[in-house]
Amino acid sequence: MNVSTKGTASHTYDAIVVGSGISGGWAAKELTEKGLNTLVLERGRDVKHGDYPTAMMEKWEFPGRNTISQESRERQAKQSRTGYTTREATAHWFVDDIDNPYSEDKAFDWCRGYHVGGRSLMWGRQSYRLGDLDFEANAKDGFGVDWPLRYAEIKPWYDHAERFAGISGQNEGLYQLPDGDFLPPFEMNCLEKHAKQRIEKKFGDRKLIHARVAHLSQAHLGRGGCHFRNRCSRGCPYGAYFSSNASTLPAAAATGRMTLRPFSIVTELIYDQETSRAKGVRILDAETGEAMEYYAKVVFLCASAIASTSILLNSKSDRFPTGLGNDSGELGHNLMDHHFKVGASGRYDGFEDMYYKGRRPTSTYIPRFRNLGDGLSDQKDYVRGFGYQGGASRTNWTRGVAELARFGADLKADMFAPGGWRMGYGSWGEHLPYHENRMYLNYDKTDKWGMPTVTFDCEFKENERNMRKDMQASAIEMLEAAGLKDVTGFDDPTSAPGLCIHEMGTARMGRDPKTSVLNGHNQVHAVPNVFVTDGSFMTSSSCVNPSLTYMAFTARAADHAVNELNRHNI
Amino acid sequence: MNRREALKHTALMFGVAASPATVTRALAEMAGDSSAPRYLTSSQYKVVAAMAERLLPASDTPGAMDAGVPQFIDVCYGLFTDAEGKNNLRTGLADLERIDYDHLSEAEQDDIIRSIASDNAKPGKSWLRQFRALAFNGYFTSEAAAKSGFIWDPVPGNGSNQTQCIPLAETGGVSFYE
Repeated sequence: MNVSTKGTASHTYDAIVVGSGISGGWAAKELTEKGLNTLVLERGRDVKHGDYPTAMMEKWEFPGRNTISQESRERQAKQSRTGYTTREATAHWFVDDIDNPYSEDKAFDWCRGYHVGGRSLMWGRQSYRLGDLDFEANAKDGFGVDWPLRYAEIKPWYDHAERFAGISGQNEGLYQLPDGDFLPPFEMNCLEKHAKQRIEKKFGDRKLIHARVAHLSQAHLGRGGCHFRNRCSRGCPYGAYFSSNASTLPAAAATGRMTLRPFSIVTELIYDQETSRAKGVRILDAETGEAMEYYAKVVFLCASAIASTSILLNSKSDRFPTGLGNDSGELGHNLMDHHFKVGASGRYDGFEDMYYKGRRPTSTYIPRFRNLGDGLSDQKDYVRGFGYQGGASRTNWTRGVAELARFGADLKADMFAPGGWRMGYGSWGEHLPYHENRMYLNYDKTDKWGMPTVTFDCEFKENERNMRKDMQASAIEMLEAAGLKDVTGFDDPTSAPGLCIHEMGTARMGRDPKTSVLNGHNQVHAVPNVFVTDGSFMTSSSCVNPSLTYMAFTARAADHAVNELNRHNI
Repeated sequence: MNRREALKHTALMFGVAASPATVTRALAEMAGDSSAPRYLTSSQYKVVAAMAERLLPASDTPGAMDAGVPQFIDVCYGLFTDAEGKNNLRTGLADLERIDYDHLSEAEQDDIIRSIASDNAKPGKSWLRQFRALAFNGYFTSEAAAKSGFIWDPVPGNGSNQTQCIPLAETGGVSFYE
């Protein structure tokens, strides 16, 4: 390979951050604010805050009224598997599957975007803390390895992340879902308030709470409050939800110490045998194809679990023949997602004269209530647990489609009026860390850059399948307790890992270098100036949405990196 | 905005060009020669327009034709429907083309819809469901519907957090979706 090393000094920084999504944005902010000149490398195009082409478009301005075009179904066949990501309003945030192929020994949905901001632009914005129920789980039931830290150590960093990101919610005093530092919650609608009362009365161990979300219920640190448009995933011109583009990257830029380089595909880390440190990274310029090197004292891999792990696996040296930091052989293994697409919904007769205004971007949450370690909630068939996301709304015009015999002016007028109330909950369950669930690099099938592609070999197993029965049955019994009629459950057993878009675990943290890739500060055990702070560090998956945890761990790792640099330990 | 004002607004909308470029372009297409489909045959298109208008006729709110539903179905058929869906739609339209559906009286057209809806032979019902889904989507997501029967409020505002459980009467109606 013809690598350009010209201008070594101009290619040298204090820190390099690979990726600009949730984790990369936080790394950039924290490292620059602590004084490090930081190069942020993003493989995709630049997206400045406000550069959201569909944000202000009305539905009728999309030729298919914001559905998925045949062209997208062909070029983005895998990205389209969610059924919503490649609609006209958001298709441009997801990769072209023909240009960016991957393989599946078993079905795995890998949905991602290559642009500045990454998936922080399209994420679901649900933001919950892990607690000691999660951090102790592996040690207690023996699946996976023990987390190398407990809640008390990460709590201040959750506080720090929430205060900057702006999380709306309400403290509930629950052991299984630690309280936080919240903006006021988004109000529940009438049926949600009613269901909360009924469910909490009937089931003393369950709570129906405001979803905790990275949406601003009021203006916060220069970003505008939510305007109730509910067009979030297109990008928010008000910066009313947390994204790298609206939040962390502007903060990093304001220090004057960030250099952001889009179109920079990191191909490998450069390992220095003499110092046992990474010297920097090799990249391909995605516009020119030129190979280049950049150097730094510390490297943060924040490219997403699969991409960061791919970079490590592809960083081969005499010292690390199977990938940098892979002494344990666990790199690429213990791949997790959450399992979902199971729950229930029903109809409510009543509150016909009650309604709501605007389009609230959030809903409600039912925290985990199984296997809490209290002896009361233990389950025979499975370990760990699940939570629910969902809520109530009045039906719209789509209710009229199936009423085949009704048509004409009266039907049309009826469809302009609100329909009856419905309420539903989907459940998100924990996926255990199984060593054999993995991704690996395929050097026989390369992409247009000549880089190896990713192959997935991952599945849900008995524990997840058993849990799903309870996820559905408990949803039905709670909705019935709330007074819903015609409650019907659903469960899509064909839903494969990946679809939740919460890939994690492929460079897990642990106490023992023989069984884990990272230590308790997100450092590669044997190469301590390499930090990995995206989903790949997750030692277990919990059942809550993971992004807030990436923020907290990234901030904590950046603090540790700067302290270690100052102590000349790395 | 009450419904009468909204209707006036809609009427103006088709004659005036004082709107953003994208809207102007969309309107130009909608107001274009409605007998010139881009993907359907003109015979199919006439049946589509006639049936859509019977399902969602002009009343105190615009009808399917005024709302651009035939144009939407044409584009949806051409660019947003897979081969199987296209084939299903064409098959059902062919039956209606054979009986010159668009030349029947309104009462006869309505009778045909009723007979398909009550026909227990499945293909007819599933076709009608497909067609209704297209027509309803084309209509209830149109600018004409947004600005007549619905409350068109693209930026409801931060104060909405205090209005998530209020009497229907205070809301003025259903907010145009997304």
